[in-house]
Amino acid sequence: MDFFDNIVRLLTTEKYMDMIYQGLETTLTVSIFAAILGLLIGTVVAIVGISGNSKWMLLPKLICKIYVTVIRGTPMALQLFIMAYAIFAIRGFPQEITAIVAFGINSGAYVSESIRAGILSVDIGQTEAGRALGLSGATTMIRIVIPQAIKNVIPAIGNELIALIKETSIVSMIGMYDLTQAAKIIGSGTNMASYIVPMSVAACFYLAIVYILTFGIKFIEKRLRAGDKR
Amino acid sequence: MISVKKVTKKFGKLTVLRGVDCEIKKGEQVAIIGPSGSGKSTLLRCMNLLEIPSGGEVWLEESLISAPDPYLHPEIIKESSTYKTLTKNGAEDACELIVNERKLKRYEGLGFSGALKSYTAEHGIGINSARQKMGMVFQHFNLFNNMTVIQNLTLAPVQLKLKTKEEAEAKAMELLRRIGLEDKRDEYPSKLSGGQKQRVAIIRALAMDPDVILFDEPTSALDPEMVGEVLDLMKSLAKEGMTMVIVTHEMGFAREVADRVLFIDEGVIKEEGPPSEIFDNPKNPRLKDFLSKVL
Amino acid sequence: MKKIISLILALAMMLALAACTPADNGDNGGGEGGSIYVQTNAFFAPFEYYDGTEIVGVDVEIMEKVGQKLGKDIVWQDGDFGIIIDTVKVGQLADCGAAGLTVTDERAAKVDFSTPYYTSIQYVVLPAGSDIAKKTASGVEYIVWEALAGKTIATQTDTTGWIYTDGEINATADNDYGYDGVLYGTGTTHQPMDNADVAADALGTTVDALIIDELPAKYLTSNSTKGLTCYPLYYSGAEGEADSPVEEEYAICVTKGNTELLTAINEVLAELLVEDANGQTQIEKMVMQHMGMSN
Repeated sequence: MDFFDNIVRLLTTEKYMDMIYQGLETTLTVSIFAAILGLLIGTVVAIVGISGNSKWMLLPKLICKIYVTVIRGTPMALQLFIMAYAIFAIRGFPQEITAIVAFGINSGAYVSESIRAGILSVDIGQTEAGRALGLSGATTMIRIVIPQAIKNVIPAIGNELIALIKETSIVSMIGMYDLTQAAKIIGSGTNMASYIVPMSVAACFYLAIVYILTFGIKFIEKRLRAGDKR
Repeated sequence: MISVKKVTKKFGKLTVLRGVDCEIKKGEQVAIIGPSGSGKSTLLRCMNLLEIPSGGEVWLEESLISAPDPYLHPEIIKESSTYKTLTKNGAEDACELIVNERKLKRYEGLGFSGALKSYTAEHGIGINSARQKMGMVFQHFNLFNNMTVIQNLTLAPVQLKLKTKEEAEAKAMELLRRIGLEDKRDEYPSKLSGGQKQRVAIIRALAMDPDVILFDEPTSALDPEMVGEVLDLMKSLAKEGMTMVIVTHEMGFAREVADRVLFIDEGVIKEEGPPSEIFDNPKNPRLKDFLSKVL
Repeated sequence: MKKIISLILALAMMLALAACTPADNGDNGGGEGGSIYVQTNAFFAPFEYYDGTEIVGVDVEIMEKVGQKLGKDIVWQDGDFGIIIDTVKVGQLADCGAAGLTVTDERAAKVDFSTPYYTSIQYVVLPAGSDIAKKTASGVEYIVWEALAGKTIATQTDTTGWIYTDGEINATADNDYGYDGVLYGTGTTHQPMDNADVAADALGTTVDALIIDELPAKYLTSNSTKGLTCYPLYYSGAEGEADSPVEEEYAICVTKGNTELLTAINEVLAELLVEDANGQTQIEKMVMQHMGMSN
């Protein structure tokens, strides 16, 4: 079997594996920091979105609404392109940061919708009870609503995280050395001259990351439910 | 203690309260009864501003807790541009005209807004500090699901710096002993029965040392066998002289505990008086009709 | 895609002008120090390709010499082949582009080209057992365009192979192209691909032939385990004339007006294009070396 021989050849060639690891590092760095940025942005946007209609909130609300609409309505590849070749069109600007910002902003829009749904799923009576005790809106949100919302939100956030990791494979478009790029280079004419083998190996790595992540999310979910003693 | 002045409440096009006046005195237990949809819960929720009144004012002691309603203050109306225009055009009692026809516009000039602001500054108090003195008990208990019983009881006093953590816990344990649930201190609300939940919710309000407690149909969501334990706790509070406003369907309880009963229907108070008057000698035909159905 | 890229780059230019960012800190002006930013697409061996995680190749060696001459560092930026010309045209992100770029009128309108340093012939890569007809003249086996009629031809998007194939299939004297394509109306399918290596994988299954520059073609066939073969691509000669190869010349492009850099590149190229005693230039030696064919 030519295919499996080539897989073995790839896995046992130190040079190729170094390339894979280098790409993996980029993929993980971009994914992890973009996920953190996305969570921060998403939480802020969600809270702005569900806050009351006071006149101070009108402009922030409008901005958040436009942000979510535009980001969710345009392809990630174009957002990355604009980020790399328009917004951060600065010489020597670290590409990792370009990618982290682009993916963080993208992820934030999706995460904000999940968090918003999670917060809205918490019974309004919880907020009323907090406010009726004289707690401020912010304290009620932070101490009472968000801890209950998180439980509802974790599965959705997990899915978003998984989508994010896989989507980072397009960073090779702006010349970044991620897992997909590493596979492309290994598959190029100067190396193995076949795409199928390195791409399959890269796919297995993505699968492994996603599997570990899924496992972690399940674990966290279980812990949260246990803490709940339900 | 609580003064409700000409309070109206609209939800979109639906008018739920049509100008309610009432006064809750210190140490008094007032029951609010009425058919469902009559606006009795809305009135109660307007008292601590969980519903923002569309018009009228709510006062706690000497402090205004809602926004000021210019229609209640002739001196503020006189600052409005509408008043000035009307007077210039020779209207005799422009003030009365404006109140009767609710003529104030959304914007009435800087003088008018300034007068409203300074009135609020003089009489107003922040809603959060007002609520600290007004406990509230809900139909569906609304215990914080993410916290244990003891955390439910101590969160607000500690967070609002009314008590230290130790003081708050001591007080909470004292209250738990009172209702015989000290062994549940570290349980989550989901482990409690409905009656236990509601009793914890009542002592959660008590933990704030409130001046008044508002009860919004506290037994409506309970299984019949648990109603008694909650009513017993409320009765003992009443005996201690706690000021209480109770929206209830329990007519027997209202008759036994309340000093005064308000019958509310179609968004206005149709009749009020001591329970003996209301239950034994009703005058309003709607009240008679209502009592014939529930008694 | 091209339009979008142009649009984005136009936006970039506007942003740069509006913000007056310190991006153009004289790197592309005179003086020692600083860096030269080179845009490339590092999937074009032997001119630029990844060795592990490093970009190497003939163009890299040329630009290193240019850097030495000017006393500047060379910074390589990998990206889509399609954006190189536009990026260099704008000049915001890169001073020059080196990626085995063929000189065309369309490109020359946007950027300045150095003296050509390599002449490449378009090659056709075929899968093992292909039935596409070959011709032979003066000992060279080659394929003429006509032999590809009715086949599915793969190219790498935006490369010259793509431009030629697109023209031969779609051009008639009546449309925008203004000339008669050899393969027009023959039912030939053009299958542009992201990258020549993808196309190589598809050879023999979904694709019948791949048109690509000579050197990458030879690279592909020598490293592939699938028994690929490659032949030069020729135009059929007119009556009585010999067939002629589809040739092109590579050059390095520079942002218009950057004469200092252009001069330096041309000086370096002039040195590298001097033939030695065997009639071989430095560049030819580099090419052989990077293809693993030195000595």
